[in-house]
Amino acid sequence: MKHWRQEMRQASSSSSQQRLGLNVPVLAAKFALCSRLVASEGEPGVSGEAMDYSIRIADWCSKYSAGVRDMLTKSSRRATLVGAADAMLKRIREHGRITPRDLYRTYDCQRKELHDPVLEELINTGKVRCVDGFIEVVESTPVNQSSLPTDADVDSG
Amino acid sequence: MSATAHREGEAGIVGPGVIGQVTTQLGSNFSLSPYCILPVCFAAIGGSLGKAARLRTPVWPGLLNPALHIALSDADGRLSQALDFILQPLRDLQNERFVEETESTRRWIKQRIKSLERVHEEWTTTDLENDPSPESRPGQITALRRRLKPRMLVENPAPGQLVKVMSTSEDGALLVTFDDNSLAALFDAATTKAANDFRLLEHGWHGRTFEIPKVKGHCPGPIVEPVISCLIVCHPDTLGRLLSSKEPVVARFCRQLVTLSTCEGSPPRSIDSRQSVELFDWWKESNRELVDRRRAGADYRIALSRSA
Repeated sequence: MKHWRQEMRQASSSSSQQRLGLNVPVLAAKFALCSRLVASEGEPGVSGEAMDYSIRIADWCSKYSAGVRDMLTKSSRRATLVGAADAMLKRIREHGRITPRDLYRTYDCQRKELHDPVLEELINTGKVRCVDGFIEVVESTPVNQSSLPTDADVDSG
Repeated sequence: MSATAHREGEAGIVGPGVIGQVTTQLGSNFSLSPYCILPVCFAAIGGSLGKAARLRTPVWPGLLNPALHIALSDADGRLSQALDFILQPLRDLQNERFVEETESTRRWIKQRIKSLERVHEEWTTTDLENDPSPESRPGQITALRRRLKPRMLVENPAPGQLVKVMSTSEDGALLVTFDDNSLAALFDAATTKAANDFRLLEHGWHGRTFEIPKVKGHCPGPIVEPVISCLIVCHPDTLGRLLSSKEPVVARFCRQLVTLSTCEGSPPRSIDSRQSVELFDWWKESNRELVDRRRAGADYRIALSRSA
């Protein structure tokens, strides 16, 4: 049971991984139990071969699972941040020029560590700017708007 | 169906027997890697068997149950379709429960089992006396338990429903599935009911007894050593929100989740309908055998063999 012992050793040595990721030896044991229930190799218990096979599958699941989880949580965090940034931009527009401290006071939960990354996102994307300690919306003018014909031009033309 | 399916890949082999065949066939039908489907088959097997078999292993204190929690990030619906094939035998077997016995008959059977067990305990002098003949009391109890047909599958329960179903379950084992809407309802609800469902799922994976919270002065008994497998199949955004949750009960549940996504397999081949039907009959038969053992009240304690 080379794989089994190896997994046990790895699981006990990497305590943080065990806390955050899947417990490979236990997952493998569950897989082995399910395999044993539908396919017996004539042995009364779970065979060494079946256990090795289950450990390989559990190890793959653990690694793949960690990758999928990482990808999904990153994109979920990004979506949450973008949503919060849109809501903050709306508040800044409603209040006009405002200091970050006063802006955060408009929220039920006023924790700085919660709102700082959102404001940072708005500044980084160029939607607001910070001038003399005040936050103000950057009003973007559509390109070539001045060159578009006005109603008066159309009437006179 | 004697041929065994072996397929080289990321983890080595998909494996022989009915599980290997089903994963390979579904992988081919939906152009999915068999590895995404394999853990789902294990969860379905665990769901069919419930508490009827547990494993003694050096990696777990006490007996380890077969419950698994699997989450599938399904962007295009292919995993959802594959899951339908895997779960259909359980749905069919569960429907027998509703078709064959009425609720009043089920109540009568339960009372009859209790009285038979009481008499058996009074008159049995040794623990080893367990005559399996149909006329004996254990034989009668087994036959009655088979007729009870415990609930095995709950699909898309509303918040709070899981605890309710488990508190009235005959054998304390269940396979529960969640889709986009039911999952979002569970973790967006942020209610005590939803939190209890997550706690029960976590306990069901460990097999640890769950104390049902008091409801309006009524104090129900605990759910002893529940075995609950959970299959989530939903859009990546919904799954991402679940995995990012900061709620401690949700975070603890997520630590048990095997999270898989739609991994591409070989391009679909032409489907041999006869072979496919035969294969799913075989899959259903395998599930039925396990369900029969469960309904008969089996309690296998499997150990690792000497070679393991």
